[in-house]
Amino acid sequence: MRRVVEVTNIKKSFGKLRVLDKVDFYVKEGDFKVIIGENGSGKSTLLKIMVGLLLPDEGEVNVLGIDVKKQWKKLSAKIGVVLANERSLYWKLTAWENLDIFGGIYGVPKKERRKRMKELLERFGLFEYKDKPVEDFSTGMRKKLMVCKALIHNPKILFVDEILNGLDPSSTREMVEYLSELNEKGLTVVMISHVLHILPESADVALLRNGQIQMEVKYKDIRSKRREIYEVFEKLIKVGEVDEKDILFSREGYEDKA
Amino acid sequence: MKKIFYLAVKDMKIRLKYKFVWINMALTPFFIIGPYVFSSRIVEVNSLAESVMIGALLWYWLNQYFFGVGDGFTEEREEGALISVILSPVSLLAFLLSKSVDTFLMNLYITFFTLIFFNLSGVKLEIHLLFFLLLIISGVYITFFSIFFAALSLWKKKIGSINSTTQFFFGILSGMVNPVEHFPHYIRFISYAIPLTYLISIGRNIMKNENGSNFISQLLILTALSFAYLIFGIWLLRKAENEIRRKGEWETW
Amino acid sequence: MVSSLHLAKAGFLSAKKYKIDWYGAFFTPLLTILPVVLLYYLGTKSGLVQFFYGATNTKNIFGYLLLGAAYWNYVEVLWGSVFTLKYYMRIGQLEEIFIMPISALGYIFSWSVLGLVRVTIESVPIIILAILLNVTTFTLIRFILAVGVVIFSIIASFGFVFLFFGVTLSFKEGDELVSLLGNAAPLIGGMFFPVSVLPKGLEYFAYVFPFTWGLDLSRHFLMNTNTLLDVKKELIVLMALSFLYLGLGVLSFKALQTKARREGMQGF
Repeated sequence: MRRVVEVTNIKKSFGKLRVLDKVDFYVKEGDFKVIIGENGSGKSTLLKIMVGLLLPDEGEVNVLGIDVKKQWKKLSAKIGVVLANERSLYWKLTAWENLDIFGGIYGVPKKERRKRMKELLERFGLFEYKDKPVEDFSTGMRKKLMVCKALIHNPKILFVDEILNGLDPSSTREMVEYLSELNEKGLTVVMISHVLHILPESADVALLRNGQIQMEVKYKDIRSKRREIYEVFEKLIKVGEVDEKDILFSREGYEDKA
Repeated sequence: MKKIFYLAVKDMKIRLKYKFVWINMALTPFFIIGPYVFSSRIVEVNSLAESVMIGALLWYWLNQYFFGVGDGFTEEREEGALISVILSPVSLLAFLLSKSVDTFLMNLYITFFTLIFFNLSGVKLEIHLLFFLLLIISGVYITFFSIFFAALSLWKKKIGSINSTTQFFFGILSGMVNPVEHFPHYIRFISYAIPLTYLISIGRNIMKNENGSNFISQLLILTALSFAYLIFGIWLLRKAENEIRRKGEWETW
Repeated sequence: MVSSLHLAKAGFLSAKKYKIDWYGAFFTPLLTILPVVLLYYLGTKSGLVQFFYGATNTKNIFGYLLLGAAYWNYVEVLWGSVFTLKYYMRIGQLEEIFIMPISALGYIFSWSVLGLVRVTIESVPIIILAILLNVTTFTLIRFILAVGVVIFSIIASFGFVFLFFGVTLSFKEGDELVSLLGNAAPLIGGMFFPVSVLPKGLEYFAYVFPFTWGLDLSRHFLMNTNTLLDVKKELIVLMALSFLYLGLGVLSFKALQTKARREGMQGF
């Protein structure tokens, strides 16, 4: 599979604070990549650099063969992005109006747009609320609508920042299942998440720590007979490694950059 | 072009969710420019009231463009939705142009009611085709000027805070109530750098039914000046965009 | 009260980050009257002075306008708190703010205290200038009476702001109402010229507006201008209107706040 995201030697500081320090990171077509790390470890910074919102101080970013530093607007039509902020929708407009406007902005033809809006809203159980303004939605409904908005133009890669926060257990499962289903159909997914107990089996987990990607491992390999999975991840994120006893399967074939 | 259309539709749809805003828009210009027009009428020279009304009305157009386009990023940035537009394949310039389309439509609505209210108050303007042409030209050229201001306030955010104050200075300096010829020459120098000065002057010429040749030269200067602001504005917009991408400040204000 | 001061401190610290706003706020009232001053002085000066003298008993047009600007500054400063309320709604912090142990009066106070300080600093030179321009008519008693009139006007202003608060919470469009009334008030209330000059429809509207009487009286006490009615009668009208608007404002606020709490405060 070809690499659709290639981040090379990225450095980024805010004032004196060095957030990313020589980050090398890639995503292959069809991957479901989850970036994990402590609060403030630079996950959102890395995601924003990948979508072009943020310029790195040094290094190269290439997504779908496009130089993101120079041609981020060209890239924007080919990717979908869901940021953590629920306010990124137009709250005064209804769900339908939001999708219609964004579909138009992303150049989706009217007939196709309407069909897709209906599909997406139905898939997330929002169709019956399509005429309600977003300000009357619950957090979970808004997050689902944000995903609908990001998918309205059928992007090749979906970047998602902490979408699972604030969702109830069944909405969390539903969201993960849907992203997983899209991934199985060929959509590449790059996701930041602190909710780690329910990721798709096919996901790859990348640990961002001390400004670098320190470890990449298959999600399904991180299993423990003696601890809760949450505790395993807690140690992984905090210390940067886990006991061998907590990893059931072979890590062969995965990079360990620690 | 389609993107601009969708963004303008979005603005209109949002505005339709609020009802009172339409009443406010219809009445406010009358109250804002009323003091200037009625003060001039006190001295019982009707032509002065008309002249002030032309100046004040065009100044109000500039106000709306400075709020709508010049301050075009602020509201959506504060509400949080701007980031979604930034992430979409819409350039900052296209976003501002969509604001300009929206402002133009609002200005037509505003002008319609303002003229009616002044008419009922005894101040009547003779409206003809050239007047509408002037409004369209104002829409285009004040948009260019506002894009320059929007770029400036995106680049240095705090400049946006003096938007209203700046508008008053522009109004006074561009001869809203008094022809700029009455100003000392060093002030006139600033007046001639403001596109509104030429628009007001052309507007007054039209109302006096003067020969078109009187304002052709002013129109040419206005065109050159406005395009200069546009070019400089686009350059500044790009500079501001890269600056924000470096600092990651799309969601701060 | 203490909680309100802390909220006011938060406002002050935020405002410090935007120092340039202060210049804007300082200049705007003066800039509003500047076109009129220019119109009179650069244009048809003599006719206007004659008119003014006949209608107001003063030839000091500049002082007349300055006092008008200072008066409106005080009256309107409270209304600005509604824009703060709407701002918190827009950025999604209203509910956070409203669970604080602060009453509606506390919010109005904390969001306008900065403005009151600013207006006072800004108005002192204006008032001194206006008095200097009318030094022959100035006495301490008249000054105290003028201050009393401003205080009554502020009571009426509180009535308005309570109503605006309620409307904003319930219908989200209170800021539009403030903006409309704030823009209409200078014209209708006689900031630029006596209300008798207004078109008839507006003139009648001006008389139910408490600030018309307040401004008319404060100008009379400081500049010895003509009043619309006999001074004593006008004082009674001002007091009656002030308490009427305050009562109506508080009642409508209570009703609208209950409505908002029943329907939810989210959105903007």
